[in-house]
Amino acid sequence: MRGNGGRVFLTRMGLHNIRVNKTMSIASVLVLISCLMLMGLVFMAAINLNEMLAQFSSRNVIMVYLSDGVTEPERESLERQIMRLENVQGCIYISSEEAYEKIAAGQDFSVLDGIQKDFMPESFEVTPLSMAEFDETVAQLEGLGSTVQRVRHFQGVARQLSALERALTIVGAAVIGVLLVVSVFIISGTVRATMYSRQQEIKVMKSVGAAPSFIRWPFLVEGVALGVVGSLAAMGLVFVLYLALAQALEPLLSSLLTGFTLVPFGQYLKYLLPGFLGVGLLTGGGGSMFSITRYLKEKVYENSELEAA
Amino acid sequence: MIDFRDVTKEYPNGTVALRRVSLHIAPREFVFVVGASGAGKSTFLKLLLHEEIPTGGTIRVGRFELSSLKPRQIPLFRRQMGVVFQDFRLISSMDVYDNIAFAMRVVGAKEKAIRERVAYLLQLVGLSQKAQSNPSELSGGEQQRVAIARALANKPDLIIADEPTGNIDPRMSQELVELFMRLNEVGTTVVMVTHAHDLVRHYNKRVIILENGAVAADGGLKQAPPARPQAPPPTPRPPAQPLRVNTPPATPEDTFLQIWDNA
Repeated sequence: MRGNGGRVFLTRMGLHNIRVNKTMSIASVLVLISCLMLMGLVFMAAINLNEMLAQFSSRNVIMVYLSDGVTEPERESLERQIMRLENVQGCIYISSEEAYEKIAAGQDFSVLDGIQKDFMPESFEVTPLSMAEFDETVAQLEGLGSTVQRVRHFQGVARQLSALERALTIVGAAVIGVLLVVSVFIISGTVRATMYSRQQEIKVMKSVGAAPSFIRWPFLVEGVALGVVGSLAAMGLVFVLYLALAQALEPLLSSLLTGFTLVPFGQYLKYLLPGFLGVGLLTGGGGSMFSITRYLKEKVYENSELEAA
Repeated sequence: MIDFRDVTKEYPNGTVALRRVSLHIAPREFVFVVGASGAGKSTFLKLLLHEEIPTGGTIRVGRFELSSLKPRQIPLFRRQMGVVFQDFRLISSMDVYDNIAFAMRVVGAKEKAIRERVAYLLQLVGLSQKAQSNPSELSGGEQQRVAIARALANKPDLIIADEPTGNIDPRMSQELVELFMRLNEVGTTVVMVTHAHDLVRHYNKRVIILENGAVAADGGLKQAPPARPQAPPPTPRPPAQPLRVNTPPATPEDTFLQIWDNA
């Protein structure tokens, strides 16, 4: 006489519960969506910061810009001085025209309209031998005399990005942690509200000998369904938002780091989707189980008219 | 079927609800349990359903020794009994058919078995025409018949009825007890807790009177339950057990009526 009909019936019952508790169900899903969206955006921001850091690190060169009016002999003398420095591996001369071409390669040409090709200063691209003595080398280059107008490097930016990434991770983790706990409580509250309105059914189930796993099933279905809906909706929203942000931020990022573009979302879908579903299932399922434990202990006779003795 | 031996139940707040209660209810027996409020009837039922654990003594129901019952065995234990409540406990969002089917669905019965059994039960309780009705459209007596059908859904050997006539009119009450009698005649043990003295007087069945947590009287008013044509119970009670009381009786019936009037 036993079959899977019971599970099918109880699954339908769990899904029906969601419709009955519409307001609480929507609240649960919205909280979960906010939590997961934030999680997804922090994750993608961290990925992009990492990518930027990697690009900056690959560009561990020091740009030495020459003052206006430096003659060719002065320039050759400066190049020799640079090459004599202990921590210098290489030194490449970049003329004004070459600098212009480099910029033009990564930019919309209309931006450069009306600008002369020699508006960029001449420079040397200096490659240090060891990063450990990076700061000393920068100081030595800055002290090479009046032919050096300015020395520029990316270490400062890299350090700032690194600090930003750390801060983002810490703050993001804290906010996500709080939101996750809130999600668990909201979902468990939703399921508890369902259970309260279905006490009669739970008591009937217990009195006819339904196994605890059968009693739990509809509430687990309800929690898990809310979790899955929340995680899929959050995934879609993060995708849309990321595309919009990528479009808006691309020019700014590209100017900060020539040729830099945001990492493609699809590349990280394989991590984000299971992650989101996992969090949705855990908060939904966990929230349900958290609530039902109490109700499973409730007695068939509680609230009956025969409470006395 | 039911065996209480020296059963005591003391709640954590110090209330002693039952004191050294010993009683035996044989399979296929019909027993009324009566007593005033606070006499221990609810505790007796809770112990029967294994919702409470006795603080002393042992209880056996069917093949289950309740003191050694493991949590995973509780559902199996409860499937051997059907419970009928005073307040019907029907699910208002389901029609009559689904209320009865619900009891079978939640224990994993197949739909085909459910269809056949529910149709049979609806016929048994005389509600075949009301299968699609909502419980709120039924009279109290009809609702209680639905509850009885639900209690019978999983073919229990034992029916526990907790004040089943408490919320219905006297004529309908009699019809319900007749229904319990018919179930008893086909072999189901029935334990009915009630305050309806006239019903107990009308049906000459065994009566257990609880008073201050003890069995004050136990027996039949005029005669014991009639011998049944079906297979004899494994541990039969004496066929014409006289009323046993805790104080020497004038006549058994006088004593019963005296306790009864106080109950």
